[in-house]
Amino acid sequence: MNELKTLDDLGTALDPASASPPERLRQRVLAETAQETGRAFRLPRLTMPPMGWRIAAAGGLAAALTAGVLTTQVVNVGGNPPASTASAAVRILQGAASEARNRPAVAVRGDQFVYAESITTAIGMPQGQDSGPGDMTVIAQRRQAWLSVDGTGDGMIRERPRSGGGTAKVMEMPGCRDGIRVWTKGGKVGTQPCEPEAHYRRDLPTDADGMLAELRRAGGDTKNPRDQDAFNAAGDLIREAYIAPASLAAVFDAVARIPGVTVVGEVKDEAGRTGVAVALTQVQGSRTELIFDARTHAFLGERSTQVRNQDGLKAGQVLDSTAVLKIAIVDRAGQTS
Amino acid sequence: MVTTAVARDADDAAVIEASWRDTEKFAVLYDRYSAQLYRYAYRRVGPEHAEDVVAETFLAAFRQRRKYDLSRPDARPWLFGIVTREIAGRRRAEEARYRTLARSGSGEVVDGFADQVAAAVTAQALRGPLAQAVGRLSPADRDVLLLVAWSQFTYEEVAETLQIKIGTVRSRLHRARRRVREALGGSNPTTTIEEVR
Repeated sequence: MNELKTLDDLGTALDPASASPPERLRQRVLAETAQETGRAFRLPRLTMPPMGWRIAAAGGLAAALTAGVLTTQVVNVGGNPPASTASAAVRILQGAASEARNRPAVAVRGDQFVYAESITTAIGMPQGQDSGPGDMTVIAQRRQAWLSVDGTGDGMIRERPRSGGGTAKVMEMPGCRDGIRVWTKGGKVGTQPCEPEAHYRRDLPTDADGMLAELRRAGGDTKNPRDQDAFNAAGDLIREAYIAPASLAAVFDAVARIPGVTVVGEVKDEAGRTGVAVALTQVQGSRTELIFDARTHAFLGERSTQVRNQDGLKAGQVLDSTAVLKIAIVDRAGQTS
Repeated sequence: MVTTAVARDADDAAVIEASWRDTEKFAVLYDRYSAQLYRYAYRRVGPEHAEDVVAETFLAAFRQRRKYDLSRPDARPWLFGIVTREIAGRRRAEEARYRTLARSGSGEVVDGFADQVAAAVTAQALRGPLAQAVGRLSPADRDVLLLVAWSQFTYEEVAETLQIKIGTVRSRLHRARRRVREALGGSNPTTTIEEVR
C-alpha cells in the first residue's frame, strides 16, 4: 500500500466535521485585525451579547467590527482625568447595587428569550494611514436583540438606522439543538456542531467576592492589565443581558472593588438621560464608562471616551455610546413585551 | 475537499497590497484560505487548538502584510509557512493527538460493498501505526510530509513555505516516507516511490 494514500486516509479520519471553519472564527479574525489597526481602543462590543457575541457577530455586526475605530462626538467631557474620587465611584456603585437588589425577581424559563433594545451612536473611521477625520462615517443604530435563554431557541437581532428611514437588517441566530446548529445563508443550508450558548446564566455568583473572581476569570487571558480586563468583563456581562437581581447587585459591588475605577461626573447617555458614570481608563488610550441614572442609579448604558490625542483622535471625543432602552424576558423572538 | 477560491478578481498580492490601506480587504484573504488552513490545522492539532492556530495565523499575517513580497501572486505558501510556525508552538498537543489515534485503533463500523469494506478496513487497520509513526517523526520532516500528503504542495511550494532548499525538501520527504513505510510493516521491495508533484 502506498503510504501517501494511507496518509490521506489518516487525514480524512482527522478531519473536522464541517468542511468550512466555524463562522465565529471569521468574526474573531476580522475583529482582531480591526482591533490591531484601531489599537487605540477596545472595539465597541456594544452590539454583542456577552455569551452570544460569536453568533451575533455573524451579520451586521461584522460591518461595525471591521469599521474598526469608532468615534463620536457626543458630550465632550474633556480629556481631563475624571475629577471625582474613587470613593464617589464606590458610592455610585453601591447605589446601583442597591437599585438592582430591589428589582423584582423574574422567573426565567429555558425556552424564553432575553429581549434587549438599545440605541447606539459611533463613528467608523477608515483605517488607512492617509485617512483623516473627514473620512469618518456615523453609525447610529437602533438595535433589538432576542437571545435564547438556554441557547436552543432561534434568536434574532434586528438593526435599523436611527435616521433616514433605512431598512432593518435582520440577523438570524439559529439555536443549538441536539449538538447541531442549522444555518441558512444565501439560500444554502448548512449544519455545524455546537454547544448551546445560554443567554441567561443561572450559575452567576450573588456575592461581591465570588463575582469579582468571576470577572477576573472571564476577563483573563489578555495582555491588558488585569483590573482593566475585570472592568471590561463586567461590561460584557451586563451588556444586552438579563441578570438576576442578586447577581446584578454583585456585579456592581465587585466593580466597586476594582482599583482604578473613578467617577466621570454628570453625563448624558445616548438617549439623552442624565446620568453619572464610573469609568476605568484603558491602557489603549480610551476610557470605558458605565452610566447610571443620576437619581435611581439604575444602569443606563455605556460609553467610551478618548483620553489622549492619538491616532487622529482628540481627547474627549466619544468613541461610542449606547443607551439600553429595555431589557425583558419574552416568550418568542420578535416579541417586545 | 480543499476549497480554493475560483474566479478570482485579483490575485493575492493585489489583495494584500490593497489591505495596506483598506484593512477590510484582508477579509478576502481570509475567505480564500481559511478553509484549507483550518482543515490542515485541525488535522494536526485537533479541535481544541485549530481555531486558535488559524486566528493567530491570520493575525500574524495581518501584522506582516506590509512585508509581503508583492511579486508573489499566490499567498498560499506564505500563509502555510505562518500556520506551520503556529503549529510548531503546539507540538505537544499535536503529538498527543497522534498518540491518541494510535491507541484508539479502529473501532468504527464500515458499511458498503465488499471491496470498499475491505479497502476501508485495511486503511483503518493501518491508521494506528501510521499515526504513531507520524507522531514520531522529527517536526521538520513532519512539516514536509504533511504539506505534501495533506495539502498537495509541490516541492517548490514546500521549499517556499518552509524557506528551505528543494534538495532539503526532497531528502526530508524521502526520510519521512521511509519511516512511515517501515511503520506500516512494509519494507515491501515491490513498492516504488513515485515522484510527488
